[in-house]
Amino acid sequence: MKADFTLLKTRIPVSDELRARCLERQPSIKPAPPNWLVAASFLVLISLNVAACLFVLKQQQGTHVSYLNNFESYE
Amino acid sequence: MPNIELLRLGSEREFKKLFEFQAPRILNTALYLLGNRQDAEDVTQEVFKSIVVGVAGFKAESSIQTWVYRITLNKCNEFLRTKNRKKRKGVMLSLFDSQPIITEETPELVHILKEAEWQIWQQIQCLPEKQRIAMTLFAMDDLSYQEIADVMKVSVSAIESLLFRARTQLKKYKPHES
Repeated sequence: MKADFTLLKTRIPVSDELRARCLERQPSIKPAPPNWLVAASFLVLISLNVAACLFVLKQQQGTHVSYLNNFESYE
Repeated sequence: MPNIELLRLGSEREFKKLFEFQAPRILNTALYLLGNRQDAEDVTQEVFKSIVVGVAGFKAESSIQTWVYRITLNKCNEFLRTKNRKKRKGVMLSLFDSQPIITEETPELVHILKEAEWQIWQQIQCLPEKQRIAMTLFAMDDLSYQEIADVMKVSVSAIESLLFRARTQLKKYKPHES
């Protein structure tokens, strides 16, 4: 049915120049990173954050203890 | 048809396959939408640039052909808008404006098309925007109703309605032309 209604039948061919423009002067496709790599990067990022938080907490605890120690020694 | 997974991974061979399959369709769609071979070739190149940039993020929710047609439509519209900005006084308007896209420049199509096709193409340009786009895609016989609906992001029934109205309109023009 639709074939009866094909009104614009003329097709122009793809010229060699256009082929060259599209195929030879294109930047190469940037491949998508695999999912496992994205997940691993995410895990490393979270681990680093957790480690940094723990480090800061420990530092603070250390200060607290040393202050108490000093306080006791004054007494 | 190219393998989408390999295409996503950057396979040049698959990109060439995609080019061989899609380039004639893109070129001719752009030609009928823009009315000029040089512009159509420029848009085709732009479409392939967009494919290179965007294929890694292509989710395959629609077919690759639909995705490529959608890019083509957007690029044609972008092209006409840029051309309009440069040439405010021209008659050429956006693909998505409610006016004909044509043209104070003589479209090159007059030399390319057969007389009957040229007449029909001119009549199609007088249709409202959505009818014009749907009719152009349909009249080229490249896409089904479903595919046109996907490309234009409307329902199949909307396409049926657009094409029905377009055909009614075209039938009205015929007696005046002949």
